[in-house]
Amino acid sequence: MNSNVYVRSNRSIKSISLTRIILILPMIIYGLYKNGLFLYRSNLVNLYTMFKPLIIIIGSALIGALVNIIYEYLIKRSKDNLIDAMFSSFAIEYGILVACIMSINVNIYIYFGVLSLVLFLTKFSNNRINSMCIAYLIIFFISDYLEGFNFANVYESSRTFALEFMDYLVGRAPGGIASTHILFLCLGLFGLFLTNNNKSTITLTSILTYTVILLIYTTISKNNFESILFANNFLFIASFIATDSVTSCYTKNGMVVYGVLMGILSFALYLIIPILAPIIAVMILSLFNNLIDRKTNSYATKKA
Amino acid sequence: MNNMVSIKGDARRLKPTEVIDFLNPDFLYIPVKSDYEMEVKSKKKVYKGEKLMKHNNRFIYSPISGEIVGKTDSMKLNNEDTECIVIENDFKEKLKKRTGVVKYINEYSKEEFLELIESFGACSRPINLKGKTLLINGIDRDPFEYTFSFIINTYSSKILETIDALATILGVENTILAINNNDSENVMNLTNNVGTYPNITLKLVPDIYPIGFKDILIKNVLSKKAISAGYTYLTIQDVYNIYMVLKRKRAIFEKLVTLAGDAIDAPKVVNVKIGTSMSDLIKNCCTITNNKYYVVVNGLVAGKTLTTLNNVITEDTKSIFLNTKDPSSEKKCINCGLCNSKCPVGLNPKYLKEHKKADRSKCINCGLCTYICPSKINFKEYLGGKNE
Repeated sequence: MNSNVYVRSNRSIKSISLTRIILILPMIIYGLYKNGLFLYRSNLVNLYTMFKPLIIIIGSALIGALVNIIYEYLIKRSKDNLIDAMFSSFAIEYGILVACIMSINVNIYIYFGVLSLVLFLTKFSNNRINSMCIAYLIIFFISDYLEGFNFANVYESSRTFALEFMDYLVGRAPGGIASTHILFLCLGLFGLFLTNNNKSTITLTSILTYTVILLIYTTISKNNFESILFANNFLFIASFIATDSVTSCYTKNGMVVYGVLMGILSFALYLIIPILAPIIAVMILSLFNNLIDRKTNSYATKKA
Repeated sequence: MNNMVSIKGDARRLKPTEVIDFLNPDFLYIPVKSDYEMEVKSKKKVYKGEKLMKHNNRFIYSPISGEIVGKTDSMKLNNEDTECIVIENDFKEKLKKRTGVVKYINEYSKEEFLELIESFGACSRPINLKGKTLLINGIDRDPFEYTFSFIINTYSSKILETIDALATILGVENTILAINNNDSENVMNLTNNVGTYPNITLKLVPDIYPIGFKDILIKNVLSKKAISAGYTYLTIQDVYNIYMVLKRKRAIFEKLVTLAGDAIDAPKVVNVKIGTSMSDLIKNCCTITNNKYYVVVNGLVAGKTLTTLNNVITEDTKSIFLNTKDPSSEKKCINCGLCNSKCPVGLNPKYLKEHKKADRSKCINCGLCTYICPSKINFKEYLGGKNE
């Protein structure tokens, strides 16, 4: 070992995961209020349902931690301490992010069963595909087949709304458990930018591309711009799920191409299957992240 | 400077407070260079400053007086077995010929200057006689190294005098001395004294890594116009060596070396004879507090790990660290792209690790990719860049 570095930066998988989790906490807290406490105080749900969003989020984080611990100690026979083993991969963050975009009406057994299985199997998949998208899609299709999949909570499904721009910003629209508050989302994004903890190029280019295409589309088709932009958790997925460290592009050019393709693909899929468009787009692109990095950079080199 | 990082907050960054001397080792080991002819024989007495080896106009001098014991193959130079001349110290420091001030140092012609620094081996870097700018690097390459800082601190007036003389001899238009803006003692000292030398511009650069590397410093300090007009780059060690040659007509017998790391009691800067064995230096100058250490030379981030302490201190040795290894285990790459975005020369370390045949000639071996990696991957092992 002639070459090594004997001092390392504090940045680790643990610090990256924790920063990202802390930055989505305001959204989670708002989600717990909107899909739990508010409904309970309005006498729309019982005590268990009030705690359901909390159970889903904490349960998801615990599953992530457990998967990491089992893999590290039982399979890899690692000698790391418990905390390092818990944060040996992004499984905890993945669990929480899937919970954030999941519907409050999801069957909790199906949800935890599929999530555990997918996160565990991901450990052996060599990170070839975005596991959050896989888990989400399996849960969606099983739930939809068995009991129908609906994002609106009891309060939202009992009323008809005419939502305005501000309503979307403060998270009044139906959506995932903790993915609707756009202002908190922007706050989280700003935090990620400040802590240099995000592939912000992907977020920016994907949102920009999607918005431009959507503006053209809604102008021609006379549809409501906001209702499409803020539907299907696109902004949350573009900010936190598409930027998954492991399965997205990492080079400068690659991130730009990845973001642009995500915007285009999300819109194309929106025309076919609106509710799942961004998640399927991310899943497809995650399969090609290495290829995009390779091709865009060889192109850049040739150009130079 | 976006892709450089600030390496702070580590207890190992404690700055040594003083220079200690270790100038009397029992034996000195002078590596035999393949193209040099021997000028001395075994069992003969040598004076301090006497020629030991010769190649054309270049000489290697004895740093001490004593007796030539013979040659040994047991010593290493950068981990490689090297034949060395062994000199037993008589502790008398007897000089063959005492040389005083010969000439006012600003009065040398370019030719005289070049001849002198070549024969005394004062500067290993090429000197561009047509350059318009003279850039002096006073920034230690590694964040845990304090050698250049202490050279400035200890010899500031000699350094300024020599830089001024160099500017006159080489006839440059701009003379820049770059130092770290965090090095408050030297900033104060030089700011107060640089007024005497209107030719010299003091350039304070931020304390970010790897600003002390030649290519990075040049890119950040000199304008494109100055680079294209030609420049001469020297380190503060070169300047001190040149001072000794011009002023004293003496080769470099001793040098400052940072001795630090988390396996020794306290960091220090040691004034040591060139040719001293590292094991002798460590035995005499520090207390080892943790036996599970690695020996690293020339920086904890950019340096090289030695396999044994039987290595010789040479002109290129700036620091020696006895340090334990980072306990965190290496994880799978998480594709975060930090190595790629932080690489100061724009390489893609992840790609180079995966593609062994890819061109890595631009790598300056700064170790920043390994330092920054959240998965603790040792990219340095795969890149194998060149040290300046």
